[in-house]
Amino acid sequence: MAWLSRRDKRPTEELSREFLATVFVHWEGLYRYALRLTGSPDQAEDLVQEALTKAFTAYERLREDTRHRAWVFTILRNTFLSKTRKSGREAPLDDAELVPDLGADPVDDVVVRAEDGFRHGFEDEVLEALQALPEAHRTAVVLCDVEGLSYDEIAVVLECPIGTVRSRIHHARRRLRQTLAGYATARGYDDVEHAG
Amino acid sequence: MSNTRDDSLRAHLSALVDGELEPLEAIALTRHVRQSPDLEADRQSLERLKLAVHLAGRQEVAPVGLETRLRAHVGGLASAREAARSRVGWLVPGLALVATAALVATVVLTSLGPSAPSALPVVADGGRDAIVGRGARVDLGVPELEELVRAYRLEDSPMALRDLRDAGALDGNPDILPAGLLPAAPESTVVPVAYTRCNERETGSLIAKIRLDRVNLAPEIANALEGDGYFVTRIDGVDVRLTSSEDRLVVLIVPPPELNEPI
Repeated sequence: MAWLSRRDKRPTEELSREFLATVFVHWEGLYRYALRLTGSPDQAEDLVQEALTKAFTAYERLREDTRHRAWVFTILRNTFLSKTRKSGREAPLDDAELVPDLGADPVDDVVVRAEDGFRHGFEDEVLEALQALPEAHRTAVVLCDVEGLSYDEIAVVLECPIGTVRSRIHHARRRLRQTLAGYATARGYDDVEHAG
Repeated sequence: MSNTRDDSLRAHLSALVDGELEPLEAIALTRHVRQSPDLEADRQSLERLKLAVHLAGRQEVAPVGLETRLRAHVGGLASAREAARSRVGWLVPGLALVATAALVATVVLTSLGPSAPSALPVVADGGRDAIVGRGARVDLGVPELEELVRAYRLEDSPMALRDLRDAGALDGNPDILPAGLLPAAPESTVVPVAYTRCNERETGSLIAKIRLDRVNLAPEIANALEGDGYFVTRIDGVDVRLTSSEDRLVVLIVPPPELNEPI
């Protein structure tokens, strides 16, 4: 019974207005991140909706110094992980997994083509390579490179120290380079002059 | 050919590219990178990879109408919140917790000790309606009674009293109690009280009357009240007794004897 609680007594209209300005405003980034987590547009939309529901319910109890963007991304991730655990789908993250670093050269062709407008469709390879990452690595790279969150914010979402965020991003990029190098080789790009 | 130093610094290149190194760290690493072609090539490769990931991730657009659907969903949540707050406002008079400055409540002091104050005798008969309430039908079951006890103990906000007053739930001095509602006691006192806080040390027991046509009684309560029966339960050491009198539900909260104090 809400009237007996000590919750915030702010009018709903004011609460909604604040929620839209501080949390809902990140809806696009939430959707993109949800898409990277689920791989399905329908599931991503459901996930975002569920996260916003939880966020709205908890919103009036937030501390004033809460970082809303990191907070709502955390809700979304935890909702995804909870569903995944129940269904037993996602493989556990192996932080100790080492990826041999082939160095910069083999993948430069692919990456150069990617930033040149994707005439060869390398954006699909990049997204596929992202999906192949373990969830925590994928989350770190996506939140950093696609959504622009700081390492500090990513640490909030991943519920880990900043040093772990740095390590995960480092290893994730090494793995991405390895994967994308494989795509370049498969397409027969041996050197820059013959690519494209 | 990479050297050991370059390898140890390579792990920090991502943070350098992301602008996440401390200023002095960034300066030192940048100096090393300028001096090492291998590190410089690696740094540039990481920058291109970061850009590729950014562009690939951003090229996926949200489905048409998604923002509208999500906004509508949030709007629904807000409406539900508002409806719950309104419903709670009507529920308060149904539970009749305490009186504030604008209210007059009847307080029954149950004295079980030798120092019981002299007071008006309680006259219990078939009941006399006293409360004029208004509002939608509200659920009344054990969970609501638990909330009642918490408010009675001031473990929850006493703001309910304001809602009672605003809803016009309390009326006059309901000093006539249904027969048998009060527990057996050598003396009982019915005292009309104004400006009374819901505090067991000040008021002893609390009684309230609720219009039966305004509540949805839980089955176990409804069954117990049939045929002028009583529903009695103990919540956190407090006796809660209910009975019906004509078209009213009478709720009595009786604290443990050791907490009874005369006003």
